[in-house]
Amino acid sequence: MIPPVVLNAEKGKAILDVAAAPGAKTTQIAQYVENEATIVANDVKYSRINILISNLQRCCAMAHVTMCDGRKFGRFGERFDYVLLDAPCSNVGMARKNYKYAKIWSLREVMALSRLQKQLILSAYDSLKKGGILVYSTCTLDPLEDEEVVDHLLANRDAEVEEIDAPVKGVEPITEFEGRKYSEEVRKCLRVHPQCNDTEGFFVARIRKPE
Amino acid sequence: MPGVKKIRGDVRELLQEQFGIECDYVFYEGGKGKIYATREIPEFLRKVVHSGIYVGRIERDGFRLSMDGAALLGKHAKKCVVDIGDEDVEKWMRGEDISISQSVDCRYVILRWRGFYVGCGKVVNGAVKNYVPKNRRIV
Repeated sequence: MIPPVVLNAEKGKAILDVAAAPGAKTTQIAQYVENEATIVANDVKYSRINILISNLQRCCAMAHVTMCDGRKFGRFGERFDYVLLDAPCSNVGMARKNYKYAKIWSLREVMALSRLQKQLILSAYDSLKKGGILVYSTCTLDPLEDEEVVDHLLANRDAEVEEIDAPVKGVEPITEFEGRKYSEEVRKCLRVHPQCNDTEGFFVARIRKPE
Repeated sequence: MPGVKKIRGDVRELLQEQFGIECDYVFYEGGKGKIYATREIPEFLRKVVHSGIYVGRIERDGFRLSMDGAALLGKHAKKCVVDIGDEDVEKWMRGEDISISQSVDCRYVILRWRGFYVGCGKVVNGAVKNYVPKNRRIV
């Protein structure tokens, strides 16, 4: 998966996966750091935690599993070197895999998710140490859940968006939507549509907290 | 963390004695006598529901590593590691016991195939008793 590749975590560091279940990205990170890092895998739902623990065990990935609202991590202060926020989203990018996501799509739901994602990204950023890296990703293509969330972070914190060097083709990120203009910095994000690489659609942003 | 009990004996010493394993993991006992390996839990984390990997259990005759325990700790082992071939690994992953040609003075051995640690078994009369979980066997 692309987000752990973009995160590019190093051994011996503290890593947080805010919405970890079912654990595919967490296990990938653990594999990259060869279990030589403190990984915290969090999820809010108990039913998903069991699947997460089972997958971590099966893939021999060492992590501390926590069950709390991801919006609370900011309260702990600057604790993590790397944070992966694969935020809950409307899953429109997965519509090709499961058409259900396109059928149940609603603007009201997108607005609610966008509000949640904005709170999550601020909390995730606040839990980063200075010089730390935050990767924000979703599997949706709605600008309200992608560029707008990154723009919200840029407007409220001193975050810097970094260019992503990943071996995938993407399209130009959206800088204006429904009369709202986003920061030019969002151009550095990676927006992948299903037709680009014959994959699901997704969005990834790599954000650094200045020293 | 719920379900955590004090460890019977020193697991680190047992692993050192049995397999020559030296590592910096923290071990704790979970439910049903299962031993887990983990790293220090940061103090600020309050609601940790699970931590680390199930690495094995203490049997009457020694420490029996789980499949994941062998994968995690096998690289640190200095003794009781047996290399097996393609035919044996297939039998092992099917859930069958395998016989080992080399003589070993160990109750439990870690099996290694082409550098991969594929599990741990009990040596009984020159054969290694299979402990591969049923949901991980190849059919």
